[in-house]
Amino acid sequence: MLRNTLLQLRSNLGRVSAAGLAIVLGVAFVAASLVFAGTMRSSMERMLSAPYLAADIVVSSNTMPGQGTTPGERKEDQDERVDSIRRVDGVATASPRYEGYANGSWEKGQGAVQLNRLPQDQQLRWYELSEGEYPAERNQVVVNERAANSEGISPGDTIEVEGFGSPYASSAGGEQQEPTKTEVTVSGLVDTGRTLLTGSGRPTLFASPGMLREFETSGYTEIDMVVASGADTQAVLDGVRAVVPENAEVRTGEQAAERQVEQFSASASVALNAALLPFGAIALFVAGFVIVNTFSVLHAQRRRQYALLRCVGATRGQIRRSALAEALIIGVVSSVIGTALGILAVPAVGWPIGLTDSPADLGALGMTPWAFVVPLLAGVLVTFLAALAPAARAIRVPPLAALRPVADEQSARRIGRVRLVLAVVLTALGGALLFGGAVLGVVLLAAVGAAIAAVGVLLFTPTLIPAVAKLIGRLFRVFGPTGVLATGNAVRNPYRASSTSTALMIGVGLLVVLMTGAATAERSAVAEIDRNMPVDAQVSSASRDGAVPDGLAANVRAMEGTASSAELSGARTGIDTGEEVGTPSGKMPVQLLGVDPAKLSEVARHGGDTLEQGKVLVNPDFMSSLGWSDGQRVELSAGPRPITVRVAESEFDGYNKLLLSETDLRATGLETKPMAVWARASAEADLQQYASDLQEISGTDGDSALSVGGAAPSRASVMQVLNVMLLVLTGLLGVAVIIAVVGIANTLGLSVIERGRESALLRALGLTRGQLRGTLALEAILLALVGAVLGAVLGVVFAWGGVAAVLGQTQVPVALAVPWWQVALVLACSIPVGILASVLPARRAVRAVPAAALAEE
Amino acid sequence: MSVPNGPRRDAASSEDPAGGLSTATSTEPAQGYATGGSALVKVYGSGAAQVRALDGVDIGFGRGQFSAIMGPSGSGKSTLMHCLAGLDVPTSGRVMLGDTDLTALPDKKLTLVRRDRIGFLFQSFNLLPTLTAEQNILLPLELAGRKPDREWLGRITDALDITQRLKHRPSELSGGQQQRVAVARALVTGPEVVFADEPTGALDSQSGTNLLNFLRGSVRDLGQTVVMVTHDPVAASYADRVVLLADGGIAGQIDNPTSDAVLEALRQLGG
Repeated sequence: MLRNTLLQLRSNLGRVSAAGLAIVLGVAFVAASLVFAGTMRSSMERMLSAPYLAADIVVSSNTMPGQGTTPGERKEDQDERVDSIRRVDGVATASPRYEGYANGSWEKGQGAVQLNRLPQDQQLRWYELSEGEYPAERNQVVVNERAANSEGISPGDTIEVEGFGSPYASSAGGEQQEPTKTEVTVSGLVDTGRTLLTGSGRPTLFASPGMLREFETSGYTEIDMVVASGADTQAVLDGVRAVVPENAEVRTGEQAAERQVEQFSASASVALNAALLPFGAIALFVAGFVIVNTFSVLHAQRRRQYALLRCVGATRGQIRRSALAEALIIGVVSSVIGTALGILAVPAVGWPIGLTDSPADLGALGMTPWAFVVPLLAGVLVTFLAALAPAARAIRVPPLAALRPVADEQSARRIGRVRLVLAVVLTALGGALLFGGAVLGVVLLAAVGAAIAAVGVLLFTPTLIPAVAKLIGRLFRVFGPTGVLATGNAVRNPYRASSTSTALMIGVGLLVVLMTGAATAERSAVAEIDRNMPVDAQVSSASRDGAVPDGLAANVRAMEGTASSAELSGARTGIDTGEEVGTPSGKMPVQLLGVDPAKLSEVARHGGDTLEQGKVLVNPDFMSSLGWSDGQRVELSAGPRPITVRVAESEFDGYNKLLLSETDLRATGLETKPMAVWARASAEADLQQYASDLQEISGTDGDSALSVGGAAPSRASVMQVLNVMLLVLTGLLGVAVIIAVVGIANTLGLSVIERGRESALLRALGLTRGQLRGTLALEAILLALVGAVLGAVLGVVFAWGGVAAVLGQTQVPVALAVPWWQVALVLACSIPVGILASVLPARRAVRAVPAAALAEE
Repeated sequence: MSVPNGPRRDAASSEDPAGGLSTATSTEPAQGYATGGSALVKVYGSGAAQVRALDGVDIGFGRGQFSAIMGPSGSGKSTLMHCLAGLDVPTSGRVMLGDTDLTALPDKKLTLVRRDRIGFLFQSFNLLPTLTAEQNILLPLELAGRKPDREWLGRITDALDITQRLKHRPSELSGGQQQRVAVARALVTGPEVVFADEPTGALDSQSGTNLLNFLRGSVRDLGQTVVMVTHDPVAASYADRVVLLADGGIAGQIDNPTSDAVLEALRQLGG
């Protein structure tokens, strides 16, 4: 019997290849997810433990890193401690570790740089020199290679380092001290390893202790030691313990590394798995539909064979075992291939993003046994489960069927009454719960309802999908006989059509839920931004005097997309609040801004008419810290001449800002400068584009202190985040969608084999090859379209339920936003997808010579 | 069933070249016939497994004639018909349909020839299960984008007694009804030649007799050209002429055959 199974499988290899491909894709995704998460974790772990493993003994504070071996300890005391450790018997070297930050500027850029101490002892340098030399002089540094490459720093370059100011220096006396500045030369680059989480990171300068001293703003994080050769590590450990405070931890390098890895909780990789694996499960679930279809068709085609086997004495059990053995073989082979592909895919994908050194760097992969076992088992299990129902149907064939002539018409199975009733009941119940949850605002109720309704709809698909297909098929009549033939063929076998389209329905449904969710979040966020930020763009300066360049207002006004703009003049000063505010002068620092009220009305989207002469506009937060209240009359003694104004609450600007009419500002007698430019974008301007244009204009002056605030940049950043998220999630769902498309091609391919005689007849009757291709393409498009349409409808309904329930429960003002254009795009995509899926089956169908195919009885 | 009086095609009505053609022998060239082939060779397979299904056949079938091709199994009769009907391409030789050299046509043109100029009848009816009887009948016209002649359709379906069954799908029809739908489909385009491959093979004897009478009538009354492959001497006796095939070559012919004469001839062939 097993031999017969194998022979059968071999002769039908082409027919099961699509089912195999579906499994391979699903399993590969699961395997890749696991390996990817594992690799992220192991690369992170390697990165974290490398500095510790280099040392024989590490002393670390048990407080958070960066707070020094003993919190609050003076630098001099720390140095003394290092010296005392050095004196311990058996300690060859003791080197304190320091991590600090400073501003750096080099030829091709500028930004924050990390400062690390370069140990004198070679053993403690846990990185490898990849280019140039280690520093020979005090003002030389080595830089981490990846950051250097991405920042355009190479050996020989100079970097100007500007400190943030040392608290140790300041404690000596003066309040405000000029920051330390030093120029260093890059003598070489070091490879510090790579992880995705850290990316290329900021440049890290490994510098000599002497140079670092000027910049040190905090204590040492650790002290690394090398044990002298021949010394007993345990004895040295005890010796060191005797000279460090009780709360300091003394460990061997390995122990310290282990602790680091533990602290970097496994939660990161758990979270990553939790984020990726559901998509793998969806992909495998969808693949299950492809498998069910494949075996249903295969068994139907073998009906006579099975009957013949029964005639010659095979029991039902033998036939079932044969069918299931076949499924197991396919499942195992596909899962092995899928697991291998998934694992290999990680370095190929991980290479460009820095996870591995090369596309074939398998050594860098964090592979646990789970990465092999889980996808393999999942793939085999899904294949096996999906094969159960078709096998159960296969064994029902009576031996007599072998003796009867083949029935020409497809004896399509009728949809079971129980199933239909169950489907209707579950769909109705789930729908009611979802509706109830949405109306009452109970998320849990809506979620349970959605789950029940989903099961109901899945049971309902054998009725639903052919019905919808016939409906949509009416539109296909415009294509003439090919359209009619395509529709007829598509719905001929309702189970086959439904499981084909259902696979796509699931993918598209989830996609539409995501899109709707993203669009809803975007609309809610934008509404929130618009409510809180009445001005599209507000350019201001973080420079010492807060002034913006003179030409800025004219530049902004002339910029494309600016509908109107206003220059605000102002002054920095302080006002007396009568309360202790913790500044040297005892006054609350404020920025007074003055604007022509008419101009403000033009620039602001709302609330512009709040400002009039005799009023001061204040942000609610700032108002409460000033102790003011809305409508109160206050005397503003900010300048030489005090003025009396009425307080009005407004959203115009942030903390520490007071907005006055131009006239009132002048009345204070303060010397004013241009301090901000506010602008309103024209109605047709793309706000995202506008914000980035504005940033460019503001940055071209070389004045990096300028920043752009307001609704436009806020919207732009929200949209960017949501778009990236949607893109990633769409990509993850893409695997399931691709499998569903493979399923369409699979169904079509198997049907084409079955309909060989029919195709031949059509060709004999005068159907051209092009028309035959067209018929198959239309059939595939119909199957894809039905899945996509139903998926879109269900997606919108479920998304509506979810959004309404969240709205009701949390009172968060969200409004359902259906991205109709995106949904339409998804629907439109089913046309090229259908054509694509029909390419291979059509090739087979048109190759047949009419006479040869007709002769196949 | 009686054949409708068809005002169908010019070719069918007036001229009657049958007199001269009924004496056609296998050595005559293919020109001037409704359909014919010269030096037809069809080889299947290669090497030791090579089969010469047709081995240099020259044959012509006159217009307005009912011809039968007979021969033992493996004699090449189905292959000959497939080649003549443009369903298969001969390895060498020429196939003519009227003045058209089918062997010179690319697939697309050949397909259009089949669609517009040839009608088919098969043993297993070969209706499309997804289409109704009417849709099946009109399929060749629809494929061509031609409007059906409703009156002509009505006359055919009346004559075939299937007018009441037009909205049914093939699975709801009896075998005889299905074959009559197939006949209607073969005739609806007014083809130059109807090729029938064992058309009575799957029918009971009464349905078979009715079908043969109808075909006979369509030749007599409409001047339809019919070429039928059969192994049934009774079916062959309805033809004007029987061409006997053996081992891929012409083995003889019988004009105005009776079933006894056909049986005798077959016996001599050793079939």
